[in-house]
Amino acid sequence: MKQFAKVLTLISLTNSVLFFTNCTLSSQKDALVLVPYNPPSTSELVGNLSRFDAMKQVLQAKCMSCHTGSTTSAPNFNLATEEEFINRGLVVAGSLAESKLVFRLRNYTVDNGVRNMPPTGALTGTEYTLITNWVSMLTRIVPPTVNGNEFVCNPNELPDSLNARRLSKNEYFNSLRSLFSRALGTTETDALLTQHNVFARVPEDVSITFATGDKNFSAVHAYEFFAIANSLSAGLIEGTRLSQFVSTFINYNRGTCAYTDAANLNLDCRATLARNFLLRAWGRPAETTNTNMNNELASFMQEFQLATSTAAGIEAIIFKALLSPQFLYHLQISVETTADPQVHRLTSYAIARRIAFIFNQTLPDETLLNLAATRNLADETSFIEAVNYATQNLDSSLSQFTREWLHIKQLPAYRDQTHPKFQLITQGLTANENLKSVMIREVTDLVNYIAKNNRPVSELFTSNVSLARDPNLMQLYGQNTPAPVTVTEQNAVRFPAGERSGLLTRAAMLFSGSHSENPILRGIHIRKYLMCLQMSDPPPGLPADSFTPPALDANLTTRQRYHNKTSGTSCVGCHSQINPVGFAFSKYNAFGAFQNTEPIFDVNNQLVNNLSTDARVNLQLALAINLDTTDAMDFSEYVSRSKEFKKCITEKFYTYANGLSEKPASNISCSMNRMYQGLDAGSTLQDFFKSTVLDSRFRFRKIDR
Amino acid sequence: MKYNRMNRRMFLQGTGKTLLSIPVLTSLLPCELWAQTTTAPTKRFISVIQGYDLGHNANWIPFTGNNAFNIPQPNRIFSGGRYQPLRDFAPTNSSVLSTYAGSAFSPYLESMNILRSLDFTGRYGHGGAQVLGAISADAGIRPDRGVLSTIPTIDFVLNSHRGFNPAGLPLINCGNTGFGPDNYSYSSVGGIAANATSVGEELLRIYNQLFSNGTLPENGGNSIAHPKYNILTRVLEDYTRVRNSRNISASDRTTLDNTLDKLSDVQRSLTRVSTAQCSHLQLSKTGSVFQIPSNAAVGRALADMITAAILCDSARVFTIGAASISGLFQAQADDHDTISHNPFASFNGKPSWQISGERHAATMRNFVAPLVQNLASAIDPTNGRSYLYNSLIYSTTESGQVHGWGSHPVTLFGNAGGRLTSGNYIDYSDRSKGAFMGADSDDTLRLFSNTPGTVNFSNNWYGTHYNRLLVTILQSMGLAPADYENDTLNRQLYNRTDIGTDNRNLTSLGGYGYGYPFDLTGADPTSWGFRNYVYPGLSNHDLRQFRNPLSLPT
Repeated sequence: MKQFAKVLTLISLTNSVLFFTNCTLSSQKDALVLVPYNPPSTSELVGNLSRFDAMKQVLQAKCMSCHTGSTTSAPNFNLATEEEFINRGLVVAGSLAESKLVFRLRNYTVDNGVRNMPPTGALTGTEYTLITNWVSMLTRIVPPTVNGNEFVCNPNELPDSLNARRLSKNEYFNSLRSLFSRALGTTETDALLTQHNVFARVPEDVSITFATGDKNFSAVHAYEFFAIANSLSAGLIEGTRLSQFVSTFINYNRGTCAYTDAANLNLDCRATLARNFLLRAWGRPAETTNTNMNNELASFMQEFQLATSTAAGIEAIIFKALLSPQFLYHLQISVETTADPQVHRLTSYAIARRIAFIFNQTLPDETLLNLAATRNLADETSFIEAVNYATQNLDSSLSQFTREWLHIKQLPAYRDQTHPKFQLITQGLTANENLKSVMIREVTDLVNYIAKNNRPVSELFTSNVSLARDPNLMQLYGQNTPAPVTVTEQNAVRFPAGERSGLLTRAAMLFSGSHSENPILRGIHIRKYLMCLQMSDPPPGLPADSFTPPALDANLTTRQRYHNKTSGTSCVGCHSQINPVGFAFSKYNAFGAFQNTEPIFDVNNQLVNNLSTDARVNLQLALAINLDTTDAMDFSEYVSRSKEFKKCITEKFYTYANGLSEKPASNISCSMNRMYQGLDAGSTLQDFFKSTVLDSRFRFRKIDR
Repeated sequence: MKYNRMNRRMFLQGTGKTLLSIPVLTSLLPCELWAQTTTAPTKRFISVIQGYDLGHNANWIPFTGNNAFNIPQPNRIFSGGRYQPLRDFAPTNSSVLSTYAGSAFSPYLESMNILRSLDFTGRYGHGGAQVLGAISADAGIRPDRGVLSTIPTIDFVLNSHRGFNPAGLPLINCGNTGFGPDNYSYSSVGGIAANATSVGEELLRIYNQLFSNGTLPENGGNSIAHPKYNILTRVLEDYTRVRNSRNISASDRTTLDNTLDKLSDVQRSLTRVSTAQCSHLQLSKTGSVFQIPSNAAVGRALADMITAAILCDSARVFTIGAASISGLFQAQADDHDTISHNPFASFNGKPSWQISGERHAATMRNFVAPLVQNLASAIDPTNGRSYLYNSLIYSTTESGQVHGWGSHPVTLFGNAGGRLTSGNYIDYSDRSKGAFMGADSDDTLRLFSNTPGTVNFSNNWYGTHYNRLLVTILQSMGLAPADYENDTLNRQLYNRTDIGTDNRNLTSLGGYGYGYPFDLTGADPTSWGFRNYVYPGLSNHDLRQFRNPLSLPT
């Protein structure tokens, strides 16, 4: 390990005079951030003193006449730190039901038990809420920062293991498409892939994080990969495809090969074809000696000897390549040793392939392969050049990330379509699956626009640029002009002031599928997925109708109905954290249309009223002390600045890019530290994504024997 | 559950590091090692279901004489409940087991499991397909079955799984139309649940389906291999070379070993006629599956036919309905209403529960026993074990009680290639929780008492959920949860959020198989149907176990 640290130090020194060019992170060299690592003290683990102090005032007023510690039956509440409350068993962070300080109170009504404190009578509602919120919020307090960072870099940190993982469904499909498009063009390739139903045949990825985190290789994978390799290899030698395939891959690097008939290749041309094809299929040249593992090229060349014809040999080579571990897996075995036997340096080809899959979700193209062939990508300048190239088009990768990050791969199903309110709010719209698709597409397009135009990350939450092009969605937005095909700062269609900003106000994020919006689900969605704030399950023993929407009321808005339903003592502890977040979006109906007034239906489903909507919220209990926002735009702007969001997206993208099957277990990560620092400094979205790979360790691999 | 299968790569790793330093080519291994490396046999699943209900008493299943078939409560404890080796009940002419199965199963007790206390989520009946997975069968009586319209039963799931059945061999549904497999085997073709297309009940039609009208090769027929079979051998050799690379981590190696195993399974499936054992004899007996309970020769002929089909690998999933519905017993016009629904009525001096029990026992003796005997005596060359060891036979009668949800009768034969242990009578009940009442289609017709010892049947000790058996079968056949679970197929109880309070705050359900197909999304939870059909199943069981395979004694 120390040897590896020396290697990194050497890299750092060697490159100390190199700066990024054409890159907004130019002030940050690709050297290690050598932040001294000091484990946080326990007392720092819980740190919101204002909430703590407020709670303590209640204890002082209502409990400490007895709880002075003078008797064992009345333990001392005059404790200086939150840690002491936890260590003495008075509270369990985040759990009201397990916190003695809570469940002994007369106000606590969730389940049976002794509830006799204080002896003089129940606390006021405010006092009780101050205590329960303090306990609840203890769950989301994160370890302390070091020098203002949410993550830390340990100088002795080893690189990642980069253990083998299967290509995700999208990566596999994109790789097939890019590989064969070289010879057949995209139209013919798409026809071939459609003919064999390739995309639908590959099992969906299943992961608690992102699709890239699904490492499972099931019997179905085995059979489908076999069947696809079988079909495509046969299809590629049919008719004129054979000559297209042969000429394309031989001409990449023809050497001394000369041929006139694609169906009759000599030994030289066969070797050229195999070599060039494997380079594109694997993203690296096939081994030609036994030095490292085996003579890979010889293994493929034998297929020509065993086949009955050149075409059959080519079919066998394609078949074998598509089933090979070098194609189906991210398998980092193209490495060079370092002074530390535990750490290997990735070759230029391995680095190029890794970059390509992170940023493009597919195999490296000719430019990246050429860079890998002609430059040393372990070298700082060359590496940055490769990264800058790969990040020119992030569309595919970013779209996939966005859909999964925001949990909008599938929007809710339509429900209650015959309800008069549904018909009212969908007037002029065609409520079909296409509408949902264009809603999702608009969000991914927005993220891609911000990345492509080098806009700051904060614009994810503040941009008023519309990406709506579909007439249905435009109708929903009240928009007359479709977004241009290529949107720039200059030609962008923008929403009217005060209506929408950023992705939280887009239809896909607001759509409920029904006639009524659900502010609770909206609040949970934002807290959980965009801010990574832990949400505990509802407590046991709730009344049977707890999970049904509140009844319609002729005199109440949706916000008011949900507020009333969740204002009981057993609900308010959690809902005071959830509801305000959802209420901030009260000016959007269940389809995401902007509404200054809400149509009110009574219990007989009759339209009886129109009431003004109110999106002003106090977020003191939900997110931060002294935080009020006036509307969804104001709220979104807060999110863009919040450390919760920055930390969350850092973890999420790091997880996605590295194909982790679970979120990083530790905040010790030089890569995430670097990502967060850039984000905190106002990085652009593109540079933020780039920063995922800029730690020197990215170009190494730790091998666990 | 105990998984005995030794992963081939695990075995190779265990043979010593010296082997790993060179390419592990099968040709380099000693013969005995090679034999042990091929431990992933082709598997088959055969379900045999006797239509209509069967009463059973406090000590469970089926008692066919006036003296109750009285298997005592098992005397040993394991993680899932209680168990006792079946050999303790070795059937002699006078033993309790002989009244159920006769002596035919005596040699195979070690390959057999009898399970009790597997309960459905809710009431079912009429050949309802809950037995193999999901839905009720009788649209006229169960108008709400449509809510589960896209859920196929597990025979379809297995047969359409490309890992289990790569060659796409046909699913063999044989039985009489209407109340045979048509009533418990469902595909999802066409959006609404479609009944399986039965081959029919006539033995000749089944024969022609299995053996392509007699055109499959006789003894010594040539193996038909896929054109890519040999290339796949070289793909596997490439995997072996890569996994032996020095630039590889332990985790990489495990990953590649798993892939290698899965691809090996694909390759093994690429030969259609597996061995020279394939021999389809002339059909020895014509007749109908319908006659199995009353005609031993018909039962044996079908058993021989299915055995030959397995040896020829012309099908891997067989669903057999040995039902008889009307007019067969005591000249009753409808033995469902007159016998099954009236277990304490008497016909020619026999209580109706005894008639039902005898019919089930006859199916066991006439068909299941010869099938078990055949498969136990034929050796599968892929791993040197019997075909019975490599297969799983599931035999049952349709209902636990008259449309009841309690304690479905389950008998299993075989070990699914070593994935399941066997040889035990297993009771999953927790009798400390007491018993619950069975009920028929209205509250006035309570056939079953919750008080043990009454004259009425009283056997509904709280057990575990029947769905776990379906999950156990699927997993033992080699499927992973991802192969059979998704929220499209399983939408009825998948990720429900509104039943939690009755089930320890359970907020998510998923997995294969359901109880009564009640539309939870639209039903009034206070309605009679919910209270009587759905609620008991939800409230009686810890549904957090819904997706887990059953534990089996080791």
